[in-house]
Amino acid sequence: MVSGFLIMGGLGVVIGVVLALASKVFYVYIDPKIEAVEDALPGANCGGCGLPGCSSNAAAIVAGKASASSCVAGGPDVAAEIAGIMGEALSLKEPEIAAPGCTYGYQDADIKYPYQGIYDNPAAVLLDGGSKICTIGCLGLGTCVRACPFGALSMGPDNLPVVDTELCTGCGTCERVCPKHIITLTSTSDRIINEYVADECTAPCHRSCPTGINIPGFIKEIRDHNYEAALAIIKEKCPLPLICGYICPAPCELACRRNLVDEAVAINPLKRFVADYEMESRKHIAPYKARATDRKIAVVGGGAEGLTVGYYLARLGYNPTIFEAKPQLGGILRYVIAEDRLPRKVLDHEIEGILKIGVEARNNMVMGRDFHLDTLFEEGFDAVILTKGGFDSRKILQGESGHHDSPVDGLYLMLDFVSALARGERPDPGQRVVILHSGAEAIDLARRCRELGAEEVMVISGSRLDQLPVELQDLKALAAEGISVRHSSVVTGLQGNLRRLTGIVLEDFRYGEDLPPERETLTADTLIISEGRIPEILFVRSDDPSEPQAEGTGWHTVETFRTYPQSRDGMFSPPEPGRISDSSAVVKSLLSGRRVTRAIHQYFTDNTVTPLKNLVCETGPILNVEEVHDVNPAGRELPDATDVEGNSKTAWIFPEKFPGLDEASAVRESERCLQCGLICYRKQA
Amino acid sequence: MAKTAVQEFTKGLWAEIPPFRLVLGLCPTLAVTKTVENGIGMGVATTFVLICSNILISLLRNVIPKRVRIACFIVVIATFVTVVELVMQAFAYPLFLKLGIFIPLIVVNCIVLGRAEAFAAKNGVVASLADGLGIGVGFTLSLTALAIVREVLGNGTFYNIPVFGPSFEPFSFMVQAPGAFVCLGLMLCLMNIMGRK
Amino acid sequence: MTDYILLVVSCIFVNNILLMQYLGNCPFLGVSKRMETAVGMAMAVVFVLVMAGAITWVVDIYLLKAFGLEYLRTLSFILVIASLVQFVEMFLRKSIPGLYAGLGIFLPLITTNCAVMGVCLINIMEEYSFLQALVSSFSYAVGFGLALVLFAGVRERIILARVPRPLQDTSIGLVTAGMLSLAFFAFKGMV
Repeated sequence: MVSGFLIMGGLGVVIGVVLALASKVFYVYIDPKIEAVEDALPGANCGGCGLPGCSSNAAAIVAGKASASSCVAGGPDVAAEIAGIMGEALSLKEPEIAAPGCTYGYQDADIKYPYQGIYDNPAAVLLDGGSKICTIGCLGLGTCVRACPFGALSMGPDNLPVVDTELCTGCGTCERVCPKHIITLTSTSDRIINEYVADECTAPCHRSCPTGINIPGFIKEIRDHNYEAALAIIKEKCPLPLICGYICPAPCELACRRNLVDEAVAINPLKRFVADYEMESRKHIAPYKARATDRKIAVVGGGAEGLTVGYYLARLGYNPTIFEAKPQLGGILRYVIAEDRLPRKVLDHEIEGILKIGVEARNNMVMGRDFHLDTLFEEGFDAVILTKGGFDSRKILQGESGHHDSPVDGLYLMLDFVSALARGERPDPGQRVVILHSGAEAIDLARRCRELGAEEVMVISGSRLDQLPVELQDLKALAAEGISVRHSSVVTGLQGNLRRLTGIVLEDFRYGEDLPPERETLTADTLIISEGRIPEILFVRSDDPSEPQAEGTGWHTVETFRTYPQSRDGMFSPPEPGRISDSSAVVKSLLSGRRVTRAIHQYFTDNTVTPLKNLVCETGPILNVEEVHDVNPAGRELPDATDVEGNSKTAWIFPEKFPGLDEASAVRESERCLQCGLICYRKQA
Repeated sequence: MAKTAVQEFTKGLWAEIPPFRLVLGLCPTLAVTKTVENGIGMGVATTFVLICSNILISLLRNVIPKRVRIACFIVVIATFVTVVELVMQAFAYPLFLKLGIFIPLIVVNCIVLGRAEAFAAKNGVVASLADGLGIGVGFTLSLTALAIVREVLGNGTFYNIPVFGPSFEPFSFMVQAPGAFVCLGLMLCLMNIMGRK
Repeated sequence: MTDYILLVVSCIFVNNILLMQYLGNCPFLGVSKRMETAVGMAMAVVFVLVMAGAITWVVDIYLLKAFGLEYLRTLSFILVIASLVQFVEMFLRKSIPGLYAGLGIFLPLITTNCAVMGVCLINIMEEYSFLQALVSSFSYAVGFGLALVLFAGVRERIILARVPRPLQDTSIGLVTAGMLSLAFFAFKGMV
């Protein structure tokens, strides 16, 4: 009897102690929300939810992949409790509903073979991926319709599923059963921040539009005389439709499939037509806005990109404030582009619309002079994003020679640093200097920094060692001078306190190996980058308790853009076409702005910014057609070739005097659109 | 209170009858239903554990810390299973031998733990008692029904009494493992048909 | 040596834990809807079962039998298994995150998997030596995995078939398991 008590008690004590120790030793951070949801779940691990165990269901619920009522065993009480926990977390997220992504049904599309097998999509896919030539086309067998637990789906006359938006609860069952991933959950917020990926149905114009306007979508609305709806579609991707209507180089028209028959559809004039319609109606069409939150975001820079970030942040429910160095908003649009090309009343109309939606603007505010990173955080901003523009705008807008263009002390553009030295100034580089440069000039600069008192200087390059200039390869000799060289590394983040830089985050990658890069944090007082400008940087407060900040506000940066996990892009990579820092046309700045907005939104909703994978602009050739059949030629609608003063020549040069399309010709022009899909298009019988 | 207790009891007999409506506790269901005797024995043993653990957990529900509740439930259940084991050894030794390791395995029967977690940890003693009794009796009924089919068809006997006469060729598939799976699957199908009305 | 080979064959095929011994059927029907989860569960069971088999053997011989406390076997075994699972889960999460990502979510399910407890009890009842207990635990786990993965493969195809509504899901699953069990029946008498 006694021994029984002793043995069981002893066993209990031993196990308890071991587990308690293990929970300390093997402690791993878990999202407290997941833990809260897991606590609310019954913990029976019955598998009734379709997932292996309660903890994975909790993770799925928090990630938004399972509904709060997914626990079969728990019943309504548990569902209510979980909904309560998730209520706070989900308040930033807009409800999603299903949307089919295929436009041409089985009978309208080109097919490989007639299918007569089991009337079910997963079965049909087993035969060479389905009967359609298009690899991502809807097979129209209605698996999603049968799967919908709420009766929100039905099969339309064209053999495509139709969603009843009133009945759809966004449960995602259809998304899971569709073998082609055609039906997906989407929301306005989702469309604002997303970019097209290679395996979704996109028309050539879609893919060539830098900011990704749903061009067939808005033209269809024009055809149906729904001009406001057309504008709402454009504004999901482009907050400045009228400005674009005037000055966009319109790469979409070059890509238009109608070029294979006669002439491209007048996409840009059609956009200008709906935007003109808004301006003439003297009101700003109020688009969908997500539920407001109390997050304040500072946007530094009021050009096309800053305005885009402000506009979309406001639509996603944030409270953005734009800080502009000049007396008026607009950046290059206002101070560089000739008034003849872009009338200022157009610009003012667009800016007015953006401010109206809930964007605050403070003009004549220069970062580093009138405000600093720490004063912004002190004022209660949750994040600070730099949208200071491209190479060109830096010189034009800031002009004043000797102005040190930097958001934080210790971060220098190489040009600024070198010219300060040339002027005979002696900037204090601190103890540890990091120079981000692959050229031989880095050595001279490193030596100058040593002379200025730096103890250690490190030169970082993204190139391989054998690709570096010969001066940088002599690691031993350089080490003797107190200069180290680090190759195959990029900087992906900054850390700091108040307005000073304290550290940088590095990623090392191994060429030739498909491994995720290794991340490391170094302390650094000074970072000199050889880029000509400061890129988009997103600063957020560091609330990590494991890194005790001596005093004041600690901060770190969040990577805003990355295409895939193994990407060798650092924060300061040079702007290549398609990358975030491209601002060669206003429409490209809009894309940069949307990408930054996505990063901010993801950071505040999911706590992490996921890489953009499989983008149409990043992947190779995509399924397309080379020739078009069964389309009757029809000439492009041109507006009256003479301007308001009867002068036919200037009309093309000075768009202000050039009237846009009138309503009748706009509708006629919209009829020319072939409403393309990936390979389908509207054929004339 | 009395009325709700009756409701808690009756729901276990049809609306949530295990293992048909509540697809849990399949292992003993499959393993011990070769004969009606075994089925009833297993059902009674499980019912006893269910009732006792439900009562004790319901009593302790405000004392047990939430984080370690599962461990506590398991210990409570294991204790009662040990009691059942010892009692059966003392008073029904032949049955104990037949049921073999399935008696200790009541500990890991999801039904018992599931009821403790989903019901007893949230409800009062009387309701928990009724719930445990209802689910237990329901489980016993299911086991008996399955055992009747399997024993009658597979052995030609009912409670060890021959029912078909000597010319009957036992359908021995039914008392073997494959028969258990198929039989349970078909009964589930039957329940689905009846439940749809 | 032949003894061990016979033991392995017997545990994997002849006395397959799922289809012949009726143990571990809840996860058998629960996680067999998709192949990946089935494989994950199978690996997790192998992992835990070998450890549980070894530890419970030690507990039984050196604690319970030594002090004549066999009646506490159920209680102590379930305690040991439950805490072992929890320990393994914490250990993997910290030390081998890659493995945890694959197996971790299945570990909590194993506590209530009667196959684990069942095999530990069988080891004791058959009075296996320590090595025999290890081999039998491993082989039973492999047999569990084999049956589970086979069954998942079949179930993935069943999704494509048109099954009468009352038979759908668990019902057809059980009937299919019966067929699979019939196939394993052929091994009977081999050892």
